[in-house]
Amino acid sequence: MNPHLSEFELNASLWEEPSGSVAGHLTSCADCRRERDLIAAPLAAFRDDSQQLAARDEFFWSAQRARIESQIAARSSQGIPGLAWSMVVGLIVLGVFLLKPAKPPAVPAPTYSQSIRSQDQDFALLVEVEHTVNSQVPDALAPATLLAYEMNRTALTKSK
Amino acid sequence: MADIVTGMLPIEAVPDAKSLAEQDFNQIVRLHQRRIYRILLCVLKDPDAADNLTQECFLRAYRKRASFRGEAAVETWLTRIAINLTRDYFRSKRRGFWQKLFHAPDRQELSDIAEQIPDGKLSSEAQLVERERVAAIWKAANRLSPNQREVFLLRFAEDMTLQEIAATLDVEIGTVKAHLSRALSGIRTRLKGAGQ
Repeated sequence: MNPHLSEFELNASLWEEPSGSVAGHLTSCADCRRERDLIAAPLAAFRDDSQQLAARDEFFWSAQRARIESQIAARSSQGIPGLAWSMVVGLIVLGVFLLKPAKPPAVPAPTYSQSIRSQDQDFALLVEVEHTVNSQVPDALAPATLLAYEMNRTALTKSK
Repeated sequence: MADIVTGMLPIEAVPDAKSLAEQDFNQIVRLHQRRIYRILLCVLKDPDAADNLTQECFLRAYRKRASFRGEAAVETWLTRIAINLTRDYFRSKRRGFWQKLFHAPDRQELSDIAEQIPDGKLSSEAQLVERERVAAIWKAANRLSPNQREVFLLRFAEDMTLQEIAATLDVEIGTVKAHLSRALSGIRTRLKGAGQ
């Protein structure tokens, strides 16, 4: 059986209050107490030392705060032009999109039936024009021509 | 009111975490800058780098302040940001190369700086012995692994509780104890070596 504290128990007594049994042992055992005190006293001085090392005058802290505040302000102001630039670029893109000349409305291709109907109408008009050109009398006098033709035919029949 | 020397703050001085986004951020900087600087100085051993990273810590906190949901204390949150910054700092390949090359930064060692601070409470011989031991602790801490060094400094330089350290580093308390024990064993060994 080891009569002394373990290394972990010795170390733990430095970072927290030792439990009853450990505290009792440290009180009664000079070896363990010496082992702990070898580092306990320098550790206390170490803490004070670290606090003193970082001690600065008020000017240092004020200057540091001023630098922090100015950097925060600088980053904040950098944010506004960045946003502004984004908005400008966005507006340009939107403007280009809106001002882009619109394509003429697409004329749908004629379907097959529409095409045939159109061709028939053209052909009928062509026939009508040709008939008008070939006829010996204008269309307006066509009934009179027919009436004269009938009168002539009746007269020829009676003369026979 | 904050202690000018140590930067220790009374509990009531800590802003309400839930209203961090609406807080005057300058007040948060004022309340915590000393502590953050001290932690960074202990870890980095470089006053200029500690100053720069203190500023970066608060800038990062400012950018992320809206996402702070008050699950931890403001100082725990800020300390976590600071520790992450030191990890980024050491992760830099170039800096790592130079540190490996020279084994220690060419800046004045904190242990050397410590020797310049007089202490009127002790006799000159006792002062000398204590300074040597404190310097030996600094040197031994510099040789710890990053995790052990972080835990050791937060506990023994910043006097944080194990719960606060666990919350800051986002690890279990058992992990904190394990790192602390290994760190103390290493430092004890080096102190014994230095005393012989």
